[in-house]
Amino acid sequence: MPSGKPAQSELLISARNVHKTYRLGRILVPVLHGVDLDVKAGEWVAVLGASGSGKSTLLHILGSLDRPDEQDGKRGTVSFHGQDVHQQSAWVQNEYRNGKVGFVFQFYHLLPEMTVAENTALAAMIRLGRFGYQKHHHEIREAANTLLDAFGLGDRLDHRPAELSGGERQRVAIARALMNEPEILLADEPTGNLDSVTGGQILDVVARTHSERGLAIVMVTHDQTVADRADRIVSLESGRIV
Amino acid sequence: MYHALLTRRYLFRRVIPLLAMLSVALCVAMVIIVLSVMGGFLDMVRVSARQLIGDVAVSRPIIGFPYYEEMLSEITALPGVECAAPMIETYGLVKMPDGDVVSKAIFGIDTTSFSAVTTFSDALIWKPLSDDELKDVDDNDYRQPNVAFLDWDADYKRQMLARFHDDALNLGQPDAKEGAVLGVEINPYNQRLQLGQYSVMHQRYWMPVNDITITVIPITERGAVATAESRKLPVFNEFFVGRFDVDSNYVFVPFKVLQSMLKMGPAQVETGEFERDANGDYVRDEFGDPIPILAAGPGRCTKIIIKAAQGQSDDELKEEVEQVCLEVMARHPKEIRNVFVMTWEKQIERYLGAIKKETALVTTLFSIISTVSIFMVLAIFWTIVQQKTRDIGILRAVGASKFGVAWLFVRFGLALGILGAILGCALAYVIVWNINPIHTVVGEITGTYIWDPEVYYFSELPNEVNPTHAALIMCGGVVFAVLGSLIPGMRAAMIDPVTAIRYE
Ligand SMILES: Nc1ncnc2c1ncn2[C@@H]1O[C@H](COP(=O)(O)OP(=O)(O)O)[C@@H](O)[C@H]1O
Ligand SMILES: [Mg+2]
Repeated sequence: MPSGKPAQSELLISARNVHKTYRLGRILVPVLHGVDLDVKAGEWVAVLGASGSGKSTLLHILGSLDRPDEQDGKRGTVSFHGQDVHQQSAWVQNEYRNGKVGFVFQFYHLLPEMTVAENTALAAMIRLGRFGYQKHHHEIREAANTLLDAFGLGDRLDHRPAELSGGERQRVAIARALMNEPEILLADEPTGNLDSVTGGQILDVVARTHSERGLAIVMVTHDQTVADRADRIVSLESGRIV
Repeated sequence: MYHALLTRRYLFRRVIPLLAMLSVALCVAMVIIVLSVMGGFLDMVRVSARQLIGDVAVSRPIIGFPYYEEMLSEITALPGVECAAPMIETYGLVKMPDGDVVSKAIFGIDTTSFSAVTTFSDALIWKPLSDDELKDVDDNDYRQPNVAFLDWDADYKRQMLARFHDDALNLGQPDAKEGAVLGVEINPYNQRLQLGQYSVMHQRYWMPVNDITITVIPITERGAVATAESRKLPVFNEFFVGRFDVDSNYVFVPFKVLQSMLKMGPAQVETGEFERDANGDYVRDEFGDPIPILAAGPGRCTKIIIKAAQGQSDDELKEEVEQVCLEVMARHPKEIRNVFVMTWEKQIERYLGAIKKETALVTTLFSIISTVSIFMVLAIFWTIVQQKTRDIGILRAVGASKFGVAWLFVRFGLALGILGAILGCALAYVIVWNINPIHTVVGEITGTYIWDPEVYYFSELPNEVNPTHAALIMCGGVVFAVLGSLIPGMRAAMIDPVTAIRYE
């Protein structure tokens, strides 16, 4: 495990002039109007915005699940370590999602057919492929177990997500996001579906991860008290960061 | 790796994929069963034809050819020949013990040579059986010592059975009694009990204690019809070869008897001179042809059947036999006009060709029907992709490629196809191996016997699976399952992960 915070001066991810407009039949729904956002390595940024303001959309674009629109022939960019993410091949973008970023969603999004341990190891399975996984599967299991242990789930390894509470599921989701030791965590209202106590525990986990690993975090939320846990808060209003 | 894991979980944690697997299994089983039965039928026709007509035959139907004895001894001397038998084939009327008259194929044979070429002697029914053999015979069969017949005691019956057998085996021998051997399906009072076993409805119609009268029409060497000839013959025995057309149609009588009835015996050869009237003009027959003067000459037969020696190819043997025939014909150019030399395969070519086509047709039809499994897999996988949209989005978010997601489903189809094919093959083996009992039970329950021996010639269904064919059909089943999974797999790959993840 890497430890120690990298210098916060280093720019990790930066969005420039990102536009996104959805089309509902003939109606255009403009969501993002030129978003600019810089996140430094090891920095925890909260993006605060009302429901429907485009927070999830922004997060998906940062994580290369979605692409920015073209605006007047120019497309907004998302750079990771200075490289335009959306200009890369599909293969490199897959690796980016797999190894560089970790997603955490409001609704946990665990695979119901897999156990807790398997869900956690998923990113590693994808990274290593069939034969690589067979070769390293002891280490992978070990790493997954260590992560889950740290989150208090050491005795739930072989349980299915359906047998866990919301808070436990979200901890599994965080463990999964950390499996490939990413540089940035993209969390979409990670406490949005939890009561305030459980939500607080999840934020504690996030905070611990942030401080222990020096992980950069972009966390979007509509909740001021949740946002307050971050190093820096920005607001998303009318499709722009203000 | 997540592929293997999810394949296993998807396949066994839900019922729907098992249904798709079942559809693959059923299709595979169906085609294997159809091909086994039809292909087996074809093999049975080939084997049985070979057993009954030898490997190569020299023939000239109805009219026959002379100097067959000369030909026979030279053919038998060929190194590629194990043995050969002369026979006469004709059609005639048979008057049955109850007074009915039926038309049948009449064969003049000498059992000794005929049995050497064919499996005829094994097919004789009425003979004393050992205790072991009796175990497999129906309880009401006359061969059972404790089944009463008239006032015969067990000893006498045994003696009589032995005599029926001996008489049949001596059919056509120089000093033997004259009699006939009938296919077991000829006597309408013979009732089929079980496979290959018959009981007689009335004691008085048990064939071995009855006579028949056969009537045949001699045809001269020039094709003219002579007066019909009748002869009353005791029935010695009945035979069962398991081929309905044979069992219901063939009557065997001694070679010499049929030869003399058909006027094919010695003294029937043209001298090359023609009858003339007082003026020296030709006397003409009803066709306006001059009538040849006949003189004592060799007898005729219509066919010589030949069994090839071990390892001898039929086609080579046919050529050697042809050579002999040409030589004999060259020695008697006037008497032997022509003969046909044919391999057994050639003799039943049209019949065999029809079955081959039928087999191909039925197999093709069932294979086409089996494409249903493609759509079955497609429909079911389509549903699964729909249900699993969110999971697919998650996989993409965690870094799975489009190809990886497509492969998840194609691999799933492959696994399902392999399992289905194995299951289907096992099912087919079980059904084909037990097809005769199954057929009997289904027939008893429904009252309809699908495999009608009158149509298919054989009283038993073929019950063997060709492993090569089975393997090919299994591959076909796997290919169908994979084909069915391709479109859902591609659809899964095209799913937009963002839309998928917004699901909840
Ligand atoms: N596929 C889509 N088609 C049309 N409109 C969409 C689509 N996805 C999101 N939207 C709309 O875009 C807006 C922003 O959505 P989202 O990014 O989910 O906001 P947030 O996460 O801040 O609630 C919402 O009004 C939503 O209805
Ligand atoms: Mg949202």
